Amino acid sequence: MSGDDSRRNGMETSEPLDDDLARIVDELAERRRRGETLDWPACLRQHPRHAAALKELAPAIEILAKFGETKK
Amino acid sequence: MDGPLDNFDLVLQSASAGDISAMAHLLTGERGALNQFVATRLDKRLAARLDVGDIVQDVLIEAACKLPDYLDRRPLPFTAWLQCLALERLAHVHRTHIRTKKRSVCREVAQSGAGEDSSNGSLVSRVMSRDKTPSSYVAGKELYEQVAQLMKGLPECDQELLRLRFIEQHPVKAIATSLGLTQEAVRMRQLPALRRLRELLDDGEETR
Repeated sequence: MSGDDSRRNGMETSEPLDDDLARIVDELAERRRRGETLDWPACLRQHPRHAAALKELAPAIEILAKFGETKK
Repeated sequence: MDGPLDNFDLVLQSASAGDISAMAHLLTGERGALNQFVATRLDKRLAARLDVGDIVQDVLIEAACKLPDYLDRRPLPFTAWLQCLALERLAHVHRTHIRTKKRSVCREVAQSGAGEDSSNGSLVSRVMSRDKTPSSYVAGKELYEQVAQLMKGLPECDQELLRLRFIEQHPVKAIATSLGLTQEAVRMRQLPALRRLRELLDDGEETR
């Protein structure tokens, strides 16, 4: 089935976007790992195509990081 | 000797070579297990008005579309891959049928950067704040308990991955070795795991 077919059938064909987003999330995780405090508005400006998705993910990433800090 | 695993590998190989009947066999063979997987995870509020079979059908259609890419890369065992698709579909169904408003945290992040307003006391708001006051110690303990509870709602594979990567903050290479995955698979699995955690956060906010 071609991508066009998938779209006609109402299926999401977001793999390339998701791959890109996964790479960005990994970069953010690495920056967090190096002890950097993430500047979310700057992240959103830097990745406008993924801004909405990153906004959704930001709390989850921050919660996990804070959870790690609380455990220490 | 052709054991069940060898047969399964043969079917996978045939499917990889473009054998349509092998692809169909792969997918339909998992329908029963997927039905059970989805039924035990479908939100109770939705179970009365949505048919598990319809959700599984959507998962299988999506899997059929993505199967060639999966067979190329095989980032996960086949069943685990289907379960991940099912969890994503459940999250989508949940978003569509239950969530009626975007979380205020999105606006907090966009408008105030660090999300300084923690006045509503929600878990998300407090986490997004940069509170360093003495009371944050108590809040921190509460946060620990709430997040620990929240994490239990995730599949074990997600819990493990998020713990290693975002809580203990190990490098991808070490996590890949620890979990027996490729580094690429670890990177790709972070995103759906975070999305599922985000869904749980929303659930928690809605029930407050």
